[in-house]
Formats: sequence, structure tokens, C-alpha cells
Amino acid sequence: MKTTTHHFDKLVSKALDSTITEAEGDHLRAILKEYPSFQKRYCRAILIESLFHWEEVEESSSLDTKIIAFPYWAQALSFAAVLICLLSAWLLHDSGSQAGTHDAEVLTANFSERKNTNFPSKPATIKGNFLLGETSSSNKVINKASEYINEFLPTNAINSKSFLQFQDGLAMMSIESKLSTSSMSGIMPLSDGEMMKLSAMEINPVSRNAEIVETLRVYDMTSSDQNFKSVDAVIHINQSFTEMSDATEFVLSLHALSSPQEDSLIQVESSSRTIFSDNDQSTWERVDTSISIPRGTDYLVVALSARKSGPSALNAHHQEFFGDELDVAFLGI
Amino acid sequence: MNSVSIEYSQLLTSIQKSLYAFILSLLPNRSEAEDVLQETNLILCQKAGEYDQNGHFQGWAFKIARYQVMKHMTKRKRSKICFSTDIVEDVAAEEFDSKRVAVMQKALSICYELLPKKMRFIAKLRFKKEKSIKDISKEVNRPMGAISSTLYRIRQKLLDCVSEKLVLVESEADFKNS
Repeated sequence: MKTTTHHFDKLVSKALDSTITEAEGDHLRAILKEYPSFQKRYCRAILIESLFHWEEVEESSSLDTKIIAFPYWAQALSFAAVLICLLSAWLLHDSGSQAGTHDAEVLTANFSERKNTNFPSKPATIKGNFLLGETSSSNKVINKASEYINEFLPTNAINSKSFLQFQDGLAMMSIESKLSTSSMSGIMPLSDGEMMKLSAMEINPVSRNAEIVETLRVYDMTSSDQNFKSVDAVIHINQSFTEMSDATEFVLSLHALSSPQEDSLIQVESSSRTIFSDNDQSTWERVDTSISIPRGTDYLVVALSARKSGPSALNAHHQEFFGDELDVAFLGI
Repeated sequence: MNSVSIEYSQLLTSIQKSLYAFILSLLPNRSEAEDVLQETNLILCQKAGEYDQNGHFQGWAFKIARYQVMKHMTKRKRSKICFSTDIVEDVAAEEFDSKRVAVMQKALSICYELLPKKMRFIAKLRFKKEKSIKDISKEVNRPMGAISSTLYRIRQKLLDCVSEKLVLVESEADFKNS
């Protein structure tokens, strides 16, 4: 059997377009079996085809779309498979988590708050500390806040000593000291000698997204009699240099939570602002957001998240992400 | 729920491209290969505890993927073509090595830009937007047969170009590493 490269390429192309007939399929199989040189060409053709799969489906112009844009349902299922993996990794990584010991409830994610500032999100509820199924940024924030509230905010808690602080008469749990680092990866803190280094991103290889959400502060709004009407938050962000020369999406968010029952939290209002960092280690970008504090707010949470999407997300663990000079101001006493 | 370490999830992340290429080499149909990829990822997560850390992760993952392809083929008989694993497996293990994939991707991006404009447009519709030949035919107002032929020529051009540029990109990478 004499086979030309053209004929072989045609068969491979037809196979990849699912237009190959059964007889042609048998022929292709026979060629591959008989000629090792065609095996190599076949593998290269396949690799080229598969690499396109990882390219961006669309130019990522739409900030108001969901974080994870699935081309079709199959990838959503694929995401679910890997989600189990990554959620497990996250739970292991996160020393404070108590996976499996609490009631789980799937939360409704609200990605719409990603864009722009200051519009409310739909209420989301959580019971216990463990979240299964959805891992939207809001869910992660609420979940973590719930954990902190249980562990640190009661002023008599043993663990609270190092994390509990007071601001404007409000008891506040902050993990900034836990994330604190001096200059590293060529990045100097903005003013004093300390800055915050965010934890490693969680990577979803199938949807090619990576994200880390840090719940930086939780304020116990019931700890003061003062009637605050709104709150402003400002932070500066930076990322370590990457050869891929791409930006990282940072989101500063505020979440007003209510606790109608002892073991549940409801998000009554949230606001966020997104900024894309540049790839220059020497500059810090400023991001701010504000929120009106609704009546019945028991806790106010300040969170910072960093996200990457596309091929660079797969290497996100090689990069470091920083925040500095977080300033939260309560207004309207 | 199974526990998966950060290291394990990073390993899994690093071989996604290779794994998908391997599955596609056995089952040359994108959507079916994606189905099998997700099934394989799930199994790999479930079997995390069984992975021997001294072993070759990619080889182990390929073995599981191969089994999943076979299982998929038994379950669904709609695939027109599927290759028995012994035909391409040895070559695939070498060609789909993660480092090689990275080099290949660089070469491909160069070659893609070198395609004539019209071809690049068709390539974008088919490969990046994952449109069917029928849809492309409607969009560019050309018969389906012509689209098939164009796609064959695009693949051939890319294949030849990538093989040529691969040497260049590899030597550049070696130079940077030295």
C-alpha cells in the first residue's frame, strides 16, 4: 500500500471534522499501523488541533459575563469534575477549615457584582462553615467570614487575641498580620516595611481560571452603639512580574451580612470594584469601593480577590499577588 | 470527598494539555474527547491517594485516560473512528510531553499568524470558535465541501510550518536555558 502525505493529511483532517467514512477510517488505522513515520505526523496534527482547544474562545472583552465562560455544557461538567479536586485541595490548604463536619448548603452565586461599583447583590445564605457545590467569590467570603465569626470575634475567645482589634469602637477581626510580609519578588511595600501577600491561587485547569479570595477584615457591627451609615474602603494592589506579561484582575469588595439566626448568615448588600494590575512591579494600583450599610447589618466584611483567566491561569501558582495600605473608613455617625 | 493535595492538583493542571491531546489522538472528535477528559479528571481526583509519588505522573494519567476512552467507546458507539491505543501510544507519550507541548504552542502561534487572511478566518471559526463545517459554510457562503478542503489545507500548512519552526523555537529555548 503506497500512501502519500497528502492523502494521509486528508484522512486525518476528515477524521477531525467527523466527516470520515468507515472505510476511510479503516484505511487511516492501517496506515498508522504500517508506517511509524505517519504516527508522528498524526500525533503532531492532533496536538495542533488540541492546542487550539486551549485558546480563548472569544476575546475577553466582557467583564460583565461570568467568571467561567463555558462554551457548552460538556465543559461545565468537566469543571464540576475538577472542582471536586480543587475544593479538596483548598480545604486541605486552608488550616482553619473543617470539611465534612458541618451541614452543607449550595449557595446561589452572584457574579454580576464583578463589574463596577456599588450595586446590591441578591441575598445569599449560609449555614455552618462548609460550602459545597458553588464557590463563587461571594460564597467564599461569606463562608470564611462565618468561620472567623465563630472562632475569633467573640471577645472571650482564646484565639481572638492576635486577630481581634478595635476600630471606631467596633470589634474587628483582621488577618492582615497573618498575610504580612516584607519586600519580596522585587516588590517594595508602599509606605512602611510591610505589605500583604495573598495566598496561592486555586486553579481550575479545565475552565482555565485561577482565583484567590482573601477575607481581610470582619467587623462586628453589633459591638458598637454608633449608627454608621456607610463605609469606604481603599487598598493598593501589585503583582509579581510574569514573562507572560499579562494582567491580573483584582477585586475589592464589601459585604454587609445579617445573622437572623445563630448559625446562619445572609448577605444583604455588597459592592465591589475591579481593577486590572499592570505587569510593573514598581507601581501599585489603587482600588476603592463603598457601601451604604443597610439596617440590620450584623457584620461587615472586607475582601480582596485576585483572578486570572486563560492560559496564564494555569501558571498562576508561580506568581505572587500583593495588597497594601488597606484603609476602611466608617461614615455618618 | 477525596482529599487532593495542592501538589497533586498542580500536577494535574500541568498535564491538562497533554492529556487532552492524548485522548484526542485515540478519539479524534473534540466533543467526545472533552467528555472523556472530564471523566478522566474526575477519576484522577478520586485516585489521588493511589498515585505513587515516585512514578511518572503523565504516564499514570495516560493509562487512566486510555481506560476511560475504552469505557467511553463501549458506552457510546456513535464515534466513527477510534484508534486502538497500541498504534500511537509510544509516539504520543513522547510527542505530548508537557515541555514539548509548550514549545509546540509557541511554534503554532507563529504559524497561525503566517496563515493567509482568509484561511486564518476559517481557522478561527473552526478551531477557536468551534463552529461546525455546516455553520462555517453558512457564514462564509461557500459549499461545505470547499470548507472541508480549506480546513485540510490549513491543517497541512500548520503541520508543515510547525515542524519547521519547532527546531527554531527549541533551539531558542535551549539558548535561554543555557
